[in-house]
Amino acid sequence: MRRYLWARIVTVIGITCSPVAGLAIDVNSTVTALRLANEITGGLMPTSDPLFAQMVASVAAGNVQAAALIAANSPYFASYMARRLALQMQSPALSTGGVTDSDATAFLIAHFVGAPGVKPSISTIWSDNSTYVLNIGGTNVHAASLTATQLNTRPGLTNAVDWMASLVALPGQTVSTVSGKTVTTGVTLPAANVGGYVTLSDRSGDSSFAQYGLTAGTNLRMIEGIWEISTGLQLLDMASEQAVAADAPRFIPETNSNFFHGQGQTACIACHGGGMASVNHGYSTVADIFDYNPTTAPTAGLVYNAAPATATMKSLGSDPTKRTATLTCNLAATPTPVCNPDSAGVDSQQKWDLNLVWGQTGVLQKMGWRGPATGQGLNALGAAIGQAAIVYQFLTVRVINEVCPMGSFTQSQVNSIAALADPMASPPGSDDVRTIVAAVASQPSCL
Amino acid sequence: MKRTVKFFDQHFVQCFILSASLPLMVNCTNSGLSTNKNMGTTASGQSAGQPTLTPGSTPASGAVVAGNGSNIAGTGNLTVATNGSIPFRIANGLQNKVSPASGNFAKALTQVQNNLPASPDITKSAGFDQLQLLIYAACSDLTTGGTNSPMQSATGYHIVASGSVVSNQAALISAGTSILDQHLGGLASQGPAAAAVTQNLTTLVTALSQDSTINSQMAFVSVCIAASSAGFIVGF
Repeated sequence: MRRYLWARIVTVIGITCSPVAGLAIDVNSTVTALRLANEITGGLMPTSDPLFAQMVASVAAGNVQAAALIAANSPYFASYMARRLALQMQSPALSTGGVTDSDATAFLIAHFVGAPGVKPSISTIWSDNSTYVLNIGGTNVHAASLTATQLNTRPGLTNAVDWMASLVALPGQTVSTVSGKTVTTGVTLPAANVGGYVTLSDRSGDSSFAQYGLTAGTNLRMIEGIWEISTGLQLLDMASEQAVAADAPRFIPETNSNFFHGQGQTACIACHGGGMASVNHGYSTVADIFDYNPTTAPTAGLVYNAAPATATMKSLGSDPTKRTATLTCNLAATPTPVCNPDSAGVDSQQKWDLNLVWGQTGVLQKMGWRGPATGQGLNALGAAIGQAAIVYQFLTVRVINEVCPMGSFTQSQVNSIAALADPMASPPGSDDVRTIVAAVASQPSCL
Repeated sequence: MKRTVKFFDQHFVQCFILSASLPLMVNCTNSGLSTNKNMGTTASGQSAGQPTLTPGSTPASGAVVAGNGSNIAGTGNLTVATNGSIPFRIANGLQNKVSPASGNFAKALTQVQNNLPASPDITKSAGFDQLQLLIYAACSDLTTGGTNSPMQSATGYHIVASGSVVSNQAALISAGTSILDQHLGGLASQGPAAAAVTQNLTTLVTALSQDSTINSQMAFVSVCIAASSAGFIVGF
């Protein structure tokens, strides 16, 4: 207490004797507030806004973190940083380049800053069974339908979108279904298959994560992307050759010389059996029931397939004409099919078991896994991901990259800041990214 | 063409001079910041066995795992304005008398949007040079009247379009200071470098007034570009 008193005295003397004392403006506090506003709101907060004056006052009172929180709680943060973080999460590249606003980004912004009647929630980003639209003049509008004028006008001005005030939570998520050439939109996605923002795409070409993960191919990008974006880990971080052939999908050729042991490359089984792409590590939850195909369904975004047939099962490879051969996997046939006869295949009930391989290789421990390690369906997996400590730590690192890229943060500091937002920590964190933002921005290396 | 080159030469020279004078107001204040910091952030109840972000290798205790500050010390608060913020910051600096959604500003933004910095990290970003083009477009919108009718250089900054540069000198200097103030929270007119700001803007306007081919609107655009650019640079 005495030390604190002395610090106050020294502060007062320092300010009184400083060469800028006597100016009509508190230069030190204004500079700090200015930098915080620019870092946290991208400079969208005008210095004429009363909130900026509050920030200056908080800094002057010695509470930089409170000043940072004022910026983070403002609508400018939602329009800049929250939107930026949301746009980045549409692919593992975590880049905003070429990504546009969509239902998926609106969902994420709502989970970062909340919406009227809805609290912010990092933990349910991969499981919340809701859709978020914007109330614009009494009409619900999908984010992808916002105009350039609305998006290029900052909050507080005419025609601007105030994300915090305008977001509306609608229960459930809808998808399209395809039967022959008939596309049906507005079909309710079963709750067990909802993956939060990753299962939101109301139109073709919306640059959503669903488009990234489910277009063509085998849907492997879907599950890999979920792991990479939520944890910050890369494919090889989670790979292990300790898997068995049954763990790898049917279309991975067991006869390939690199299948069990890589020769100048990573063994196929390391990722497809022991890593993110294993049939046991969530691939079953997305492989056969989802599609995104502008060719066959040009008006649809995310397509749901409740009853996959052999010809539509992406877990049997990307070429629909070869899926039957892959399923049969008769290695004596000519030409020899590209397949894995020992594959257990993706589970029809979409079960997942993360204990297999990852329990032994320490990946679960590395992720700070605290939810169930086994389950059924994408929604249960997403809920479990939201309980992993690494989710909050990686989000902290991403915030550092945005707010304080030239700072210096140790793992211990990252963990401490992450815990402030981690609802599973003790004491429970806020589940609010703005807590992380304010803590990062007020760290000594960031000032 | 010769006239255009001359016009921009003068602008860029003055912009650099103006920018160079302004860091004084930031640098001279940094030393005082350490007296009023309250981090307020404490390690809160970490559960045992906290995971690390790098499976297979545990960072040494104290090793920096995020941020580039360990490589370039003393610049922790340095960031670059990004593609998501630059248009708004330009508009804020001009008191939103221009809009990124209309006029030359919107056209230029469409052209350069993909070239603007994608990252706030100065060691990774590129494209900040595109800022000049955007600012030029935005400043020109203030003089056209078109989408911003009536002419905002006149109504917002009291520039008399029919008057000479000399007769508009006070208004031009005031406009530059006002733009800087918007970027810097009033530091341009009330901070320790206020006199230097006025002096540099005076030098710029005086130089412009000595060229008979430059009218008051061109001079306004020059001042606008210089002040906006400097506001961004100092506002890092």
